[in-house]
Amino acid sequence: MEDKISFTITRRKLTEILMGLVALFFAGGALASILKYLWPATAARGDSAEIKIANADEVPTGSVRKFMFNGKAAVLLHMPAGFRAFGSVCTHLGCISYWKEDENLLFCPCHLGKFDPNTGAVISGPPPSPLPAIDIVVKEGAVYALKWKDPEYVKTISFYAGAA
Amino acid sequence: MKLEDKIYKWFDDRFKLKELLTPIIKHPAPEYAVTNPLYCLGGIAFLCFLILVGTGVFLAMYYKPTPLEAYKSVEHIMTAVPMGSLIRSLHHWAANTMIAAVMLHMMRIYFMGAYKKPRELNWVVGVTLLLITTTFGFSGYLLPWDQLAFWATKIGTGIAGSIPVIGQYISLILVGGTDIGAETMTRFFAIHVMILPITIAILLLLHFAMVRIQGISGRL
Repeated sequence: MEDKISFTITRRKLTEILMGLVALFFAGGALASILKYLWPATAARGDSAEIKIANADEVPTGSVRKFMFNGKAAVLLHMPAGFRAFGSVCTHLGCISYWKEDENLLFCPCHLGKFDPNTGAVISGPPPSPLPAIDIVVKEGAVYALKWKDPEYVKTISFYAGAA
Repeated sequence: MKLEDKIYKWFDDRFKLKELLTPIIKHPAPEYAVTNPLYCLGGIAFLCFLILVGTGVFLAMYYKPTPLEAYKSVEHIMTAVPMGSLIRSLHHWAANTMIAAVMLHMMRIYFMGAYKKPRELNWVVGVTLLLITTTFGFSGYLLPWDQLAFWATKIGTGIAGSIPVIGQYISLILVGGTDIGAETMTRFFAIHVMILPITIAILLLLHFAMVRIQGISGRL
């Protein structure tokens, strides 16, 4: 009765295992390149991105300009008090709110959420929290988006996942 | 000798058609499988697959996978291309029917106990085929780029993103960014017309080969 577990290794077997490891190494390299290729470029993003939204004279007082900020829909408003920019993804269920000219507010069509165009605060409707503000700067006649005014707040809104 | 016999003989002399093809074509199916329509469900699913391949190839000739053009090109297929609405409707309904047929086929296999030894691996391949079929449906759903497509994909990729630990990476690779856009479209298009068809073709071959080797299981 031979009930010991025996383990033998030959030189040939060892060579085969080593060859296998080399093959795995190259396969790993190929897999890593594929993942690297598939990885979206926008995922690696610095903090100091300065995005030109529009020339200031293209957006006269009372008009708006839609743009993308960190992969999310955003809106630049030219209010009488100056330029404002907000992420326009509604904090309620993630629809895109838009500038409703006749009521002078940002309006989400899905569940009639209304936001203050000066502060982003909720005026009425189901949204639980305000639209996140974006810091902007006007220089050399153009408007640039800089960063979220409050990145910690943006991180708490699920519809802005990955944007802050 | 008639012309068709001559042609057949020409090929037979060179490729041994009689010897190789006869056992495949003339292979008899068992009586219980021929007389019971429940045994047709897998075949119906495969027929749907063939229709989907055919109509899909034709749709790909007019369809443009970019956010600006996708909806317009689908509209163009439906309204302007002669027989376009027929082709797309066939694609649409064959897709729906295929999912239904695959589900019913699985239920037949389950309730008749046809998954038992020696057919365990064929069951595993079958479940994988079911998953691939639904993935086909999910990836194809985005391509018309209408409201339904957009939000369904938002929800679907959101579910993928909710998997613990690796979810957000899966979602990033699937969506090609943080929000659904042009990158998502081309990715889903590539998945729908390149990756999945190759995968399903290989698995279908395996599935059929195993049925052939093991035979169709009898009644309980």
